[in-house]
Amino acid sequence: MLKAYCKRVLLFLPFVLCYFLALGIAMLALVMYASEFLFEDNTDSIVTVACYVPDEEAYNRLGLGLVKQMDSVKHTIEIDQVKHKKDVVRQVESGDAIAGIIVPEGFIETMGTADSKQVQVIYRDADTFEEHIVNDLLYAMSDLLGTTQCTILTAGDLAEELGMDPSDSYTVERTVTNSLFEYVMDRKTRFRTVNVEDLVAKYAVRERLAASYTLYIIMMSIFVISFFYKGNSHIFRARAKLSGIGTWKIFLLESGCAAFMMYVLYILIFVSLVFIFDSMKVLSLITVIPVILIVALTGTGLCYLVKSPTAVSYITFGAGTSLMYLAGGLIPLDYMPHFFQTAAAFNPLHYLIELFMRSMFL
Amino acid sequence: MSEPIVNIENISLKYKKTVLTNVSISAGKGETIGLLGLNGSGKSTLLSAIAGLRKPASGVIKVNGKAGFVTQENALIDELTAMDNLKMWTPLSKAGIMNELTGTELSILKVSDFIDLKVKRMSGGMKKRLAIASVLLSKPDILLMDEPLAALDIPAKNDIINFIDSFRSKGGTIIIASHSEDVFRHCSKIYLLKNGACTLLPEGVSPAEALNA
Repeated sequence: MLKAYCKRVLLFLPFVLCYFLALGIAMLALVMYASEFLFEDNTDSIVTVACYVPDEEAYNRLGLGLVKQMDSVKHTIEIDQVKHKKDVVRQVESGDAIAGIIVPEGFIETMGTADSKQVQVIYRDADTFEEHIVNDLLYAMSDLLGTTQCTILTAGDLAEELGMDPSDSYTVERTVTNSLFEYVMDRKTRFRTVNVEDLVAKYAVRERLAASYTLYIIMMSIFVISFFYKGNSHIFRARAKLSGIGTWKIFLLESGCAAFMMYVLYILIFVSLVFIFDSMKVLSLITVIPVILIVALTGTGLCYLVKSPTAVSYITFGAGTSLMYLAGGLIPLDYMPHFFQTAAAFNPLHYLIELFMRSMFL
Repeated sequence: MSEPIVNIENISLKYKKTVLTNVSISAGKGETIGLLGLNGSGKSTLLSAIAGLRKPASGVIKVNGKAGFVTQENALIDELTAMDNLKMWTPLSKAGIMNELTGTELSILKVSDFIDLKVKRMSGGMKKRLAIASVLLSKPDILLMDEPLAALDIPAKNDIINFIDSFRSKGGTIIIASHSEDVFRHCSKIYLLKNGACTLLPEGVSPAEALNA
């Protein structure tokens, strides 16, 4: 029986792969241009923001590094980290930066105390701050630094305050290597502890879409693979029983075959995505296996319960697509109403997508 | 008379809308038993119970030997060839299967003529022959057949009837559920399933008369 099923898998596999080729290409195109669809319609181009963070305060620099990785920032704002406060003024005044941010010394230490210091936001005298692009950056930084406290100044005000000398300006690019934000959190227990990867994952829109579309394709493959199942036929089961083969053995055999076909499908998708995402993890070829097994066992169970491949298609396309949508798998939850964001917490698919994305990219 | 191979005593069966009560049937070695009845009268349910696939609500079913069940729908895999389908259910090698198909009473079914053909390209007659051969490879003592001649052309029907005669002549016991008068001519006993009861058809009464009565 095992040999016969292996032969069936080989005969069936080209059918499964061809069927999803078109769907895969369409979704791949969507993922490739997801950033354009999601962000760049609202902005003219990437703008530069000059940012000063005190050298000795590693947690501030870490926060800045995290902000830079966020999709909502990295597709709209280029953060130019400078060595001196005066460089912020120079860049804003010259037009090299559309705005500037200065994180003061001792910002974190004094946060929440009577002596708390404020982040300074610098913009050109001619600009209107209310509609300023740097608001996005402030929101992102507020999330990370746990504050919205800031002072808004024009470049002219700050230059006057600093007694500007234009001869000593230089720019330094820094890379934050720490992977955890816990340093800050340990010092300020009133903030909840957040893992850096959680924050990056939240804003990794393209990666999330690539992962959820991949999962969606794998889930939809059940519809095609449902034609493969024979164990859902009571006649076949009766025949097997008379030959001394239990239903559960056929169930496991067919689940295994389905999982194998899905795995080959995943390898194909993986190879395609490697050309698009630098961050693809080869390890995902292993970590994806439990996810595929869950989908294969659920799918086989579904086929055994509903029997007709047509009914399987209604359930996988209907219920599967709806659940995937509600889980934020088709459109990011950030772009959906608040109710959907709350409801996603009760959707198991939401967590499956999260796991799947982390195994593929993070 | 020798001890019956199949002995059913006062069984009651219920499946969907079909209800059978106090059914008693016995079949000896080398006998061919016919089950006659309208659609939904419980023929297939009764065969399933004899095969051990369904438990009766009450009563006893004794089967002294190995049962093979040729179901109305064929348990075949469309994408595979006849040989692959046969290999699924038997430990025999390819050569062993070919020996069985050509050197025994199975040769009547002529399965070797289309052994490399995929099931999806087969006619209804070919599929039925293959299904019977698939069951017979396990050497059953009792053969249960559910509508074996349904939707078959005349040559296929003749081949299957010839096979039934051959199987019986070699001591095999067959229980056939059918609507076909052709089959019942080869049966030593015919049971009529009607209104939930199972009665032995008296000699001299044709199946058609019994059904219309």
